[in-house]
Amino acid sequence: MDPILRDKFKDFEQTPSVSVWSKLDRSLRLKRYARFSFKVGIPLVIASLITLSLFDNSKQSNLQTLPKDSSSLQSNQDIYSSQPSAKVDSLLDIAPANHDQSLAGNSSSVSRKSSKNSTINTSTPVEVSSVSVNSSDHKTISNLQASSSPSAEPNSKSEILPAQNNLHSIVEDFSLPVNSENIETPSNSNDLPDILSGGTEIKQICLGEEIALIAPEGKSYKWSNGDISRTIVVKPNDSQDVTVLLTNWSDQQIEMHYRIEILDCSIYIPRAFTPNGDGQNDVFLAQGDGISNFNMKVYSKQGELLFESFEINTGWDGRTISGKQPFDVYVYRISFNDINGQIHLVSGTFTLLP
Amino acid sequence: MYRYTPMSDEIDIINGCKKQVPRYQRALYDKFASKMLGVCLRYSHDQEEAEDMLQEGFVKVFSHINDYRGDGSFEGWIRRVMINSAINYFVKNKRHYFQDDVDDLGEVIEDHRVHYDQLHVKDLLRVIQALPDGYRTVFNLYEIEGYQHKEIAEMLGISVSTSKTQLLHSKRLLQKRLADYSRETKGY
Repeated sequence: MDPILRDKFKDFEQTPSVSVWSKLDRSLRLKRYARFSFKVGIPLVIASLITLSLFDNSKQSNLQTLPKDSSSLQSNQDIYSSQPSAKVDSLLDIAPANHDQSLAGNSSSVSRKSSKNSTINTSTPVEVSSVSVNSSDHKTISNLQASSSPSAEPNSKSEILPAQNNLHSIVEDFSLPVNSENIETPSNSNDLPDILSGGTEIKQICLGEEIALIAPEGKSYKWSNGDISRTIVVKPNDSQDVTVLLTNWSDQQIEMHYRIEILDCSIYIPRAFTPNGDGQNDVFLAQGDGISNFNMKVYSKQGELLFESFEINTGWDGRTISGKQPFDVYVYRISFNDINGQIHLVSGTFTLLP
Repeated sequence: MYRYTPMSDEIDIINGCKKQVPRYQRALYDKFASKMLGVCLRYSHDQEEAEDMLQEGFVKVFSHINDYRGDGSFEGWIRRVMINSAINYFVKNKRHYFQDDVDDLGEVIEDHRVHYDQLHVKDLLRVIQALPDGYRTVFNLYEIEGYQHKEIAEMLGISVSTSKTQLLHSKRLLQKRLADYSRETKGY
């Protein structure tokens, strides 16, 4: 053992790129889901069947059998898919008595639900988080194509891209020659295609998180913050632009721009609302950026489910099948995935003010 | 307003991970990822490969966390899991792992002591990463992790003498490259 060498590497650290965690999180969630549906799912199906047969005449109580765990969200839908008529019936029962707005809300939640069921049934491990990343990839590519010359040929790789979740793939895509006039024989030792044109890339991160920016392969790099390595890690508090001046293997200078957009990944939940039709705070609504797989349930103090939404923009207007609800304290339970795909479960109370 | 509260207590995190609570798993990752990437980087030849090792390593950490009994440091345990993950990465992905045919050593410099102390750790890493996979693994295990040749031979499924020759070759190659490197940077 070499003590000098060992000492040198003892405190050596480097921040991994964001994609490492998102891949890891995905595999962890798949495992949890498999374990959960085996351990909890089967007893739950039995329990809900018993509840169904016991309290068949009161449909509200069916809804109470909703599991109260965030990770149960998915298997929840599995249970309902085995008895979809009960759920859809009760939703439709509520709908006609409601205000137009909540009718739209309810029907949209039904359609959302069915689309979610279909993704689960095909059992593809694609999650909304990765889709959102990919959609920004698309944006990036279209930006790139827009900024390059009109003679640029449509890049076939951009069609393959959405299937890849790896953030590196965006970076490597820039190394493909976009402008056919400029193609030269790559002179680098690795025989990699040389990067010939710059571009703009948009990265979205949560407030307080850091992000690693990896420039395309080249001879040397000069970042706008003065760094000269290929990869830099930044932790901006505000949206900002970072530029790297890259010298490629043919000694051309190429400028790459990275636009880092900061999202507030926390969710804001009001403590009260006033459904009196004055146009202000009439609907109980959560607010947040970059949120996917949103689910909100509103319960009465007795634990009766009054409202459910699968979309962050759909809130509760203070009515149920039995009409306007009284001035009281109500309970919400919200689950969602943030921009990194991390699951959050929030619950608390809020007040309906007259 | 709902926000994350970072957790710091290692025992809480370990217990949370044993129960597979997502936020403790995230906390464990946040706590060790950078340091373990530092380990994986030495065993890989670029950042992307190191991140693959890191990810596989963490999958193992989370699925085998119940095997950690609390004897010995937790960091040491994670490090061993990561090193195993790094070794498996090459055993799985590369067929010609321990090649002996790379005898492009040029003149053999007699002094086997390599002077690392003037070098920056990132430059050193770059030279280590450029070593052939087999050399690099043995070099790391022996020189930095401090394993004996017998242990290395068992871990890699090779003979003790292979381990010894790989180490010797790796040190010579490293020495030659470091010499080239310092000549370049000094501008001779």
